Amino acid sequence: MFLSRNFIKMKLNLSLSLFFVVISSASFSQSLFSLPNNNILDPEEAFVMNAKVNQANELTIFWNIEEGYYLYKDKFFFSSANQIQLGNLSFSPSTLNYDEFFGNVEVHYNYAEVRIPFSRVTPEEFIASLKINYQGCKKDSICYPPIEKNIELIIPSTYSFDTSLYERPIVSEQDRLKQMIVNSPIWIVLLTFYGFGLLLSLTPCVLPLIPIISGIVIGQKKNVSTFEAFSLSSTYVMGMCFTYTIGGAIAATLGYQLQAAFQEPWIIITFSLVFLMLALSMFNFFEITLPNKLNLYINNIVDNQKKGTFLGTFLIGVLSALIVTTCIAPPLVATLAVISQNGDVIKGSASLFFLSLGMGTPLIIIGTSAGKFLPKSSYWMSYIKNCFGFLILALAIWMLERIMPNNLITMLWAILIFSIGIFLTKIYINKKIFSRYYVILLGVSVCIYSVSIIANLLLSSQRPFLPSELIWNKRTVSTQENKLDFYSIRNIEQLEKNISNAISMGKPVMLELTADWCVTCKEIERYTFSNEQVVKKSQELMLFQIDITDNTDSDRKLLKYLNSFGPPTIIFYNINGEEASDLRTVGFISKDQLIQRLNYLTEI
Amino acid sequence: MKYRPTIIPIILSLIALALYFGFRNINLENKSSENNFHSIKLMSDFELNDIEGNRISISNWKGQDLIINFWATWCAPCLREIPLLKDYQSQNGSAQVVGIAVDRLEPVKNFIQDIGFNYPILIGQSEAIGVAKMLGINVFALPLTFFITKEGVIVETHIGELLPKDLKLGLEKIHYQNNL
Repeated sequence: MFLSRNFIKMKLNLSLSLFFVVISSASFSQSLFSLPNNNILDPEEAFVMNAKVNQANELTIFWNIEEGYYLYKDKFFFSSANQIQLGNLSFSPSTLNYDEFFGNVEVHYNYAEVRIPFSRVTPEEFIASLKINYQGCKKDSICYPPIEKNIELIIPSTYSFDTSLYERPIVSEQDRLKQMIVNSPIWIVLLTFYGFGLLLSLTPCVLPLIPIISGIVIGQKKNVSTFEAFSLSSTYVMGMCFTYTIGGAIAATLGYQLQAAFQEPWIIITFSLVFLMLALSMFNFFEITLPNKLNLYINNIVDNQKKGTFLGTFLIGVLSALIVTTCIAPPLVATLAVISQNGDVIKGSASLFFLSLGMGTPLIIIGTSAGKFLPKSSYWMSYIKNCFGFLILALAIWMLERIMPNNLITMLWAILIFSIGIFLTKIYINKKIFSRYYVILLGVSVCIYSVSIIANLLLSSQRPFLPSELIWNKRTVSTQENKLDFYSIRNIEQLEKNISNAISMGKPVMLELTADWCVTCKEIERYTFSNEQVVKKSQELMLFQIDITDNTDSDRKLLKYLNSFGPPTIIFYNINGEEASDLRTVGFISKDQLIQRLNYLTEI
Repeated sequence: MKYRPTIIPIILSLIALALYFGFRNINLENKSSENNFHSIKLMSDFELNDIEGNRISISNWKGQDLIINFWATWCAPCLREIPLLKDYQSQNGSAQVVGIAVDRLEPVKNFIQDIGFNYPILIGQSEAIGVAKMLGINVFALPLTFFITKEGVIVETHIGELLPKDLKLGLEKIHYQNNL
């Protein structure tokens, strides 16, 4: 009786709860299916807009577009009221949408990106306000009215940008290395660093580590299994990698702040000198070691670690990295310098991790085999060290590239290549290995190649690194470097006077705004103004230049007079001295675009 | 055998209850500002310009069932549904069609010249969007059509292209509301 009553209660309970579950799920589903507005998203959700300033003179505005929605390409409008002036837009690829009323319309599905070059008045950080209009639809359903957004954008100072990140259609030979490290997929970079590590492990530097690893593996116990030996030596190497990874992370973090400093000539020169010293040490001119006391101290700690345990082994690995580091410091510093240029912490630490992994790989093999496959140290080890010396010298030249004239840099490359040739020949002479004729052949041909570079340079060929230029080049001998001669303008009176001069000479005018801090201007000078066609065409014009680096009163007045916010801007005047305002450019301009403008200017 | 009623069903039902009421409250909050077909939404009067620039009040058509159609020249689905509305108007349908162009004056004028309307067109930009919001829309998107009885009851809001079946449904709702 008692039991049955309880039972009923329970049943009631259960049915009640079931009832509620049913009710609540019904209410859920109702609310799900009666969503208002037929599932039409708010335009804010359908088109999520974002903006970033990825270069000193270029900003990017992008939209993440909900599936099935699109934005019209020709409905984007951008304007700026203060501080900056916008250049020509470049859009991410669009698709054609056929519409019975409008025909084929260019639209963006999923993602739209607009890159806008802009001119700026100052290299310092400032806030710019932008007005952005855009309009979009949901496919075959509804359209939104034009959307207008006003945003405030912090434009960072020009020094905070890594100039190596610039992507330009023309890549000079010298930029390849930089491009490789910065732009390659991460796995290629890591593989390269792993390879470097393997090479480093072939230097005599790792020799002191071999007794340590053997000590750990065979030191305490007898009859270690291969698996045990493998895990112990791997742990040891992981300890080493740990130290390096942290080093890489630090370099990358610091590098981000130091990027601006890397543009300073005196820092570049100091670093190049340091590199030169490091390279000399790689050629055995002198040796870099930790002070003896410190070395002993670390060695003591290593000896006192309990051997055979994993934690102990790991710690020994961490400390051994410090010992080895002094020996491989030169290539390491070079690597760190490159990483710090990049400023990507994850990429930086991952690179160093792989570098140390490469260095540790032979150690793992040696440890696992318990010393069976120990390679004999021989003369070729020092050659690998020398190779690193050349590599570091190459890095030094690469750094100097941004402050030294092209010709000098090319000459330095030629000298470096020549030394490599001599080095290869030296191997042959020193060792008297007569069977290795190919080494001397290689050495001599490398020397000849470097001579061809110098010869090309003297003949002022466009591409001195191609020996074929010597034979095939049409050699329109122009001994002076291709460069435009700008007449510098300092104030409004001067500008007006010079323009009226140009009118009387019947020549159109090209007026470039520039400043020392304007990287894009440097690129225009390097890639566009140096072009032969441009130089030839611009002889029909008067060339004026306003340098606003000092930002003086008259500079500001000039900018106001020209209705410009500053460089990179190029202004054109026709033969009547009127500005051809539709030709005015802001941002990078390619040689074709410039020539097109110049042609237009001289024909009309 | 000792039996104790399990506590799980009780807890479950409590959770379900809480969820239900919580959710209902959220929904009610949402719907109070939405156009909800359970509550009666009345249209208030509004004024907009015609293409000549005269202020026209919606009360001009007082006592008539209304189909208010928002459109723009840049909106392809809007242009697709206009012939349907013109057909309806020319067949002397019971309701009066009023078009509201959410657009600039110039393209609308050209468009009217090109195709010709047999029903009145009002025009406005942010002002017209304000009217649509007043009629109970949160997200303004085109095309957008309201069906309103002669008493001013908004019986149907259609977002997206108006197809013949949608027109029929809206008119039926007007008819139903008028015969209540």
